[in-house]
Amino acid sequence: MSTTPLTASLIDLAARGQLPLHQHMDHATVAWISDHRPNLPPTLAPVLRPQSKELLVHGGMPTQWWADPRLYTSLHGVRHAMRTAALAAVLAEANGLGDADATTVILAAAVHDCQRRNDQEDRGHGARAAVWLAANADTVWGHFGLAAAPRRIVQAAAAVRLHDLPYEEFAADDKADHARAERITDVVKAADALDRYRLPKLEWWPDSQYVREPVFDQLRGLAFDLVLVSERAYLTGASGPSAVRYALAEKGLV
Amino acid sequence: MAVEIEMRARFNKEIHDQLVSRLKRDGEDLGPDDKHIYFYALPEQLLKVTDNTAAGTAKITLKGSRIGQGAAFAETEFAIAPADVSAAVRVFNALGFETAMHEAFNFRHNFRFGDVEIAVKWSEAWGYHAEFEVLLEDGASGAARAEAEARITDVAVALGVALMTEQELADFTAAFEAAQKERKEREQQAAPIR
Repeated sequence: MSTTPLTASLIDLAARGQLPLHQHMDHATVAWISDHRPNLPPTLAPVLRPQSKELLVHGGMPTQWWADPRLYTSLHGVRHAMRTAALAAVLAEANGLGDADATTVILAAAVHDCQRRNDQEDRGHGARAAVWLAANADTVWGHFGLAAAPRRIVQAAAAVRLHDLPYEEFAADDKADHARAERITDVVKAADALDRYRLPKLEWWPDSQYVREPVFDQLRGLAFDLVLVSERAYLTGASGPSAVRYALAEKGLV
Repeated sequence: MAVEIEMRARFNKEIHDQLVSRLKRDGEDLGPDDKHIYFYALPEQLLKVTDNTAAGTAKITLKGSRIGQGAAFAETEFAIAPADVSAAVRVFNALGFETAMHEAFNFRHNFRFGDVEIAVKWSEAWGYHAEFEVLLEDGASGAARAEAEARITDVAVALGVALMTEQELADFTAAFEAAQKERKEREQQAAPIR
């Protein structure tokens, strides 16, 4: 376990290869993200369907859904979960998904990292979250005011399980699961990847070669702004859910 | 006890952006004033513990009426140390007010325009909104209160913003409190996490 003092910024710690198990955003890192804004074309605010807006507005997940409550406010905590859910909602529109699929990608994105044990690679956290989602499906769908349908639980769990596995490493079982929930999985993986602008090293930022999403590059500007606005809001004192909802309002998504 | 004449408007992002542009151009920019507020919606009064995060100050405020019960709010207010905000909240909760408590972060920027202070805000409950305020001396006459309301109305018209009526405010706050109650009940009824 790292013994590096938590007072150092994430960018300094990342540069030294000393990022701790639990990584919390800081002012220096947000300023660094802002200073490194890529030359991105502005993204026109996509119009989300009313049901997606409703899910995002009421989508602040409770702390007890996280395996480790310390991660609720960290880089893989509720802010990342809510931004990923929002980006999944945008991708659902861009890909013309039906209402049921759009709901499934939003819910899967919202919980995809909730069973992490730390903010480092933590291999297998997707599989743990998929098992957790299957066990708690009624609670999760109920939280969003919905009833869980078996087919939707299977698809969401497949996307959650596969989100941390590179496509090129898919084994036969993974390929079979992917085939059963291909669009759902591809959208969740792309939404997760778009939120990588929060990470404290440029080489970790979004890269389209790791996803299968045709409109990925068109959404970079929106993804970057969602990170910057919500992380700044969080550091000014807003709660994680409030900070992200403010960013969603600022970008015209809700 | 000072008297605050306070009127409000809610609007979408487009109107918000137009309003902020106009106030930056033609008004006086008083700067950011973000706040973390703990509200206690009591039957006839509103109690608030406010952490002025942008200003680095804090205060406790008791307003003599609730939103939607008229524009004039008799107000008692005193400063506390920001470090004492959590203790103040614990005290009020321990006194039995916890079920009436709501918590909100307000992104807020203050302006002055036509002798009216205007706080342009965003919060989860209200979305984009603005508070128009004129502070009057203790014991201000009815005429002075009416003049202040008229001044606020004129300023809102000049800025192209529709003020909410008292009925709209009462309906909005009632709907918010009902939604909060329903949310708390739903959370209590949610199955335990396995």
